[in-house]
Amino acid sequence: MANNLHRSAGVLDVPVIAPGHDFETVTETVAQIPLSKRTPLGWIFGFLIGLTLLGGLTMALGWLLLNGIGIWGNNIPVAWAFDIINFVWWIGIGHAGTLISAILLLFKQQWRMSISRFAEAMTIFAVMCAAIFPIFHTGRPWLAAYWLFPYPNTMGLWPQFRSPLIWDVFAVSTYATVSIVFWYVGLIPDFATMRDRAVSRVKQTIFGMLSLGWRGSARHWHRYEVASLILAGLSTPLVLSVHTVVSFDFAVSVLPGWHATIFPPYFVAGAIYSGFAMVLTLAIPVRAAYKLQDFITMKHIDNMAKVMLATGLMVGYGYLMEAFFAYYSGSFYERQMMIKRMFGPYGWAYWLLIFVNVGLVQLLWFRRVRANLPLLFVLSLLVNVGMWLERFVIIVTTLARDFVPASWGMYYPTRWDFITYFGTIGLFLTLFFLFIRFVPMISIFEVRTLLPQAKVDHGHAHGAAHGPTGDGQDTTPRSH
Amino acid sequence: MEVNFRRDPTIYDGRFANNGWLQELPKPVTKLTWDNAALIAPATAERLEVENGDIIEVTHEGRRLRVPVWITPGQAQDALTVSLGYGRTRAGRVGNATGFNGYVLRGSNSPWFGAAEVSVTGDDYPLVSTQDHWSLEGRNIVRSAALGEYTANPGFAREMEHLKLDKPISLYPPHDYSQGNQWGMAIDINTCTGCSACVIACQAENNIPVVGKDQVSRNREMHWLRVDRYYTGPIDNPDTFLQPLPCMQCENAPCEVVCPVAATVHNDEGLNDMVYNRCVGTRYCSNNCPYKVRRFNFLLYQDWNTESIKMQRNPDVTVRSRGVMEKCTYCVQRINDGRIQAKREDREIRDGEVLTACQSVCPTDSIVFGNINDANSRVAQLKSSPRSYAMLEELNTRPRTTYLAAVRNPHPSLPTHSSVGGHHTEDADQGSEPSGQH
Repeated sequence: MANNLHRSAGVLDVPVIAPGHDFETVTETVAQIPLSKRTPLGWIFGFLIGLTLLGGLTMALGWLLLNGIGIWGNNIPVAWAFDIINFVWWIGIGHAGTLISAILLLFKQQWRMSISRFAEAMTIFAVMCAAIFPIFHTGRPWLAAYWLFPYPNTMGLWPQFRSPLIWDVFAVSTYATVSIVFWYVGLIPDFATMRDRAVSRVKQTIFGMLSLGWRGSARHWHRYEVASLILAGLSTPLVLSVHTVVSFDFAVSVLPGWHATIFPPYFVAGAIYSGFAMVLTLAIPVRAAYKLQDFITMKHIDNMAKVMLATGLMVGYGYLMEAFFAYYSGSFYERQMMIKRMFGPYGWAYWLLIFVNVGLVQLLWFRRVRANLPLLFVLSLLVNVGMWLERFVIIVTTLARDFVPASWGMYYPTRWDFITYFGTIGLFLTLFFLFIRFVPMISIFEVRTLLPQAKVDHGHAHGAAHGPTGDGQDTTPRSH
Repeated sequence: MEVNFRRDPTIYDGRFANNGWLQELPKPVTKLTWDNAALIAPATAERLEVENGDIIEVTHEGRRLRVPVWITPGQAQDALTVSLGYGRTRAGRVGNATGFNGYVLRGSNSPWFGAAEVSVTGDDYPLVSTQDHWSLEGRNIVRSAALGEYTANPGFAREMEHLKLDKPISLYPPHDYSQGNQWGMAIDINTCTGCSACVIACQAENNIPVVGKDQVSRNREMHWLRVDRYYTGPIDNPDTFLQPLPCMQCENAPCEVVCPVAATVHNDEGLNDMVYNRCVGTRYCSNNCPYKVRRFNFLLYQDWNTESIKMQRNPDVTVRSRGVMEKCTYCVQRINDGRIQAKREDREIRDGEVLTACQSVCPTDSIVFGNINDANSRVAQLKSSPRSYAMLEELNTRPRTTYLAAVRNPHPSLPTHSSVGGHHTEDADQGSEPSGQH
């Protein structure tokens, strides 16, 4: 199918949807996955892995609440370590979803349609994983959970608005809210399709409630289009602002290696870089397992690899400028910091991240690499590792070697650091597996607009394609 | 080889082995806590191919002791120093199983030193120190000059500033201190002997918990005041500098702006106050503190239950619980006490009336605290000394704790080392290897 086509015609000529589909086959292929009674063995296996790791997270957070964050390796001077590394890493990963669903929507990039749904889901789950850290890494999470919000209280106390952590609270909570609303609004027409196709009473009820009475009238569609444009408009600045604000946690400080004006753009590029790497990490196995190659074609894969390459180059430029400005600033401490970062006790991490994030990503210049799914999958995993290392290097090397040599100290993670980190990966996997099992992972109605039939008579096709029972283009039997 | 026996700098001959404060007090030169070790010269360690914590077996007059080594710059070559008083088995809950018993080696023939044979065992032991780096890394945080240099240029310390700030730089209007007191401290590096009495005084005054060897090994000791020790010059015969480091109480405090819940705030006498009740423990303040003087309760370090410990605490100082940040307050409870006393007698607080705990025990009077609004106060006069400098002044933190640079007067026939404190990039990496065992 798509693979064969690509071999004969080259990636650039591959369409964003394989030929031979009509409204019904699109709906059927996507909708049968959540509606099917049969749970694939691979799903159960993957879900159990996620659940096991999630169990570890529950245990780690329970132990943390009982004992304090001293169960981690954080210390003075390295008071932030895995906690903030993981926070930044997860928030960064989320950015690809927002970029795909918002910016690419405004730019009318058709290839976004079939990957936007699960990229957005990835965003939401990544933000949930990220949100665990700023709350639980505090000494007293039961207070931090609400004292950082400006709520009216009898003491007349506000948060301290000069702190970048407060900006974080607003940036991340806005981001989470807008992402969830955007995702949900996009799901409403598809939930209605699921409601209409479900045969069991339970599914009909649940999907019925989730679809909020969607009937697919022209007025509904009009409102949907307006709402999604507004939400895309709201999300677009968030792609840039969220990681900019996260980078302020560092850039606003006085520490050498943190206090750098390059941080906002460099963090945003890094976020999109790691986000697209994660989308590829998820898309490559999922499209194979659920036979979605017709919708997530080599064109998508190719485009995502190109975005990775572009953002990877920006990140590489960031590394270069970081080093250059450490030198050019003339600041003794900045220069010393850079030397320690490259050749100090954590030098291995620095060079490893340069090798992965700047070196290996150059392979993506080659079309043959972008078309090689196993290689691309490995590369995307490595970029995720590389981006994690980047945050490790930024956070730990600066704190371990700042101004006063007498207080320098090394950071060594404990087993609880690892259990917590892998636990959030478990949370992510668990949510993601639940998502692909119970929610249409590709936007059915959007992909249908990619079909040639949708373009013949636009107004009519809409009505037919999205009507409450409007699947009846042909007589393909339903899989249940 | 020679083995020397010394009374221990913290637990003396062992009689204080069960005292947690003294066990956790970093020993003045080695910065070791909770253990003693065989101090060994860097060159001798290199010859024996041992590193910090490697266990050697010392044989003296037929008696043997297995003891880990601790590489100590300035230690005489081929001479071990073992402090006495450790290795007790019935010292009590705190003192049992700490360190190595030097008395096992020592005999009445030669109670203080004698010939010894040393063999390397290949085993090691986790020794814990609070300071892993001995080099100044070319930084100007400690400044010193020889007497000749000082007489030629008394203001040498200020000239070592990397970036001179002529006037305060801030987006915010300055605090108004025209009325009342404005506190400050001057610490004389020249007279500090590193005895560390100030550290213990601070611990007693401010209800600072003992955290134990394991937590110290994770860099989590809670001392609000520490004494940093640096070596400069050749490693076999270095100059040693000691720098007591309490909170700098910065006027432009980097910790204050980053706290999301305003748990660390400026007060109208210039102090940088910690509000424990408000602290949620993000630790951002500690990260942003260039002096790294903040301490965090990573675990529940305080003992809330033992009745006798309740009686031991200073009732004027909050006992901090898990998850909050803490740091030197300039003994704000003593300031308040002085203020109350002065108010009752309807007068101003007199200079020297309020002594911080560290100041009150300093045998060399190296720490002077007082009102810098009063030009006649001792602290104000010391701050106008040509030797006075602010640590990391170029960061525009405007610290209230300032230092008086050291002036050394070495004997002319001794090899002299150059002045300390300029930015010497070329020797920046000297001694940068971690010497701690973690």
